[in-house]
Amino acid sequence: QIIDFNTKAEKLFELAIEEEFEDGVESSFSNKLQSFIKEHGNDGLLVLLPIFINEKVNAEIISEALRWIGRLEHPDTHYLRLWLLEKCLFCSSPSIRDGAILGLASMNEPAAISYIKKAIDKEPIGALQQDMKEIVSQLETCTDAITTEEDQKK
Amino acid sequence: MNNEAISNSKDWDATSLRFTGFLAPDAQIQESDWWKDVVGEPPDTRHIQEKKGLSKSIGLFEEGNLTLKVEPFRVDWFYEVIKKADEVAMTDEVLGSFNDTIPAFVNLMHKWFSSENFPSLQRLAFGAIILKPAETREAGYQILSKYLKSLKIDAEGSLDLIYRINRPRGSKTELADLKINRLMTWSVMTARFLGFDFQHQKNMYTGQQTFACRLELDISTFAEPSRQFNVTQCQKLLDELVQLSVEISQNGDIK
Repeated sequence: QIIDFNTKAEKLFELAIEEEFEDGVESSFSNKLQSFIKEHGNDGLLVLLPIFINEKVNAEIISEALRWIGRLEHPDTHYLRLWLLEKCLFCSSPSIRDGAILGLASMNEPAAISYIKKAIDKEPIGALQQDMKEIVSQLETCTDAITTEEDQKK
Repeated sequence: MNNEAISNSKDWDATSLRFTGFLAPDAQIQESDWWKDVVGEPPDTRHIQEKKGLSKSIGLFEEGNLTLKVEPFRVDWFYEVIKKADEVAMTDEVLGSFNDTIPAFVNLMHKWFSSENFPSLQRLAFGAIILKPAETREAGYQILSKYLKSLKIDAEGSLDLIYRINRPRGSKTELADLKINRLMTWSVMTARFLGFDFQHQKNMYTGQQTFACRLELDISTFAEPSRQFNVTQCQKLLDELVQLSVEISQNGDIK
């Protein structure tokens, strides 16, 4: 089964080479990626991890993948998807870091704040750093809203 | 068998110990340095599967093999028996008594925690597979019944019992809000050597069947995405995970 995952995962990214991506618009690649994760769960994600982290595949494709990994509604894989997005904040490619921050924005997970702050400290590109700061504000607002709601329930 | 007999009965023997560190997303991976930092010399063998982001280093350590397995998401250190090719009883393939085996492995892990290249960890786990010999399967179930007081085991009328349960607790370290999984799997295993009869060209069982109570322990901190442990916390937490393992091996399934 692990051999099937590896082959399927590699095929996913090979087919994506021919595609053109548009911001916010689903593609054949993004649909297949999301189906792959829903079908295979964390086992499938673990097979995908090296593809992202080793940065051997086209950075634009990885960036596109990260945006949709953040949007996916799939509680079983939430923890590992979050980890992957945070990990990619520290990749060498600016495109990948951009995809990661957009993915984290979609995920809207306040637990990511500490790692985004670490990434801000290391980020050499001003525009990306600014994006990261905006996401931190978004997530901190989300945390405040949750705290207020909990206080109201007391 | 009464409670006194349990405490006087033979100690559990360890067949494998494991430490797992789940890497923080910003962890720096320098696995070639990790082995050297801990063991002091190169491993006997090293395998790399670059596509999978996987590396494995193996070398002799004390009574068994030490393995360092590194993946993108986690690092595992294993201390395990070296499988013997000749026909031996299952309970002969052990590292030593569980209590006696732990210190050397834990010292090794503390050495890793204190090393210059130690990575950031988000989550820790300690695992062990330990055995206690039994004369028969029924005797094994009777031993288990003293450890599993909330379970009524029909020792004579049962086969294939596997009892797995997780009894979480709060950490007693300074991280009082941290929860710890205490996952334990209890069973009685049987073993018999399977040889090949060249004259008749078929597999055949040889030697006596042996039995042992088997306890698999997986004691781990809860997965919390914003958590990151410093070196001192890793040291204290590992000691706590190990202490919880020993407690289960002595007292059975307790809250």
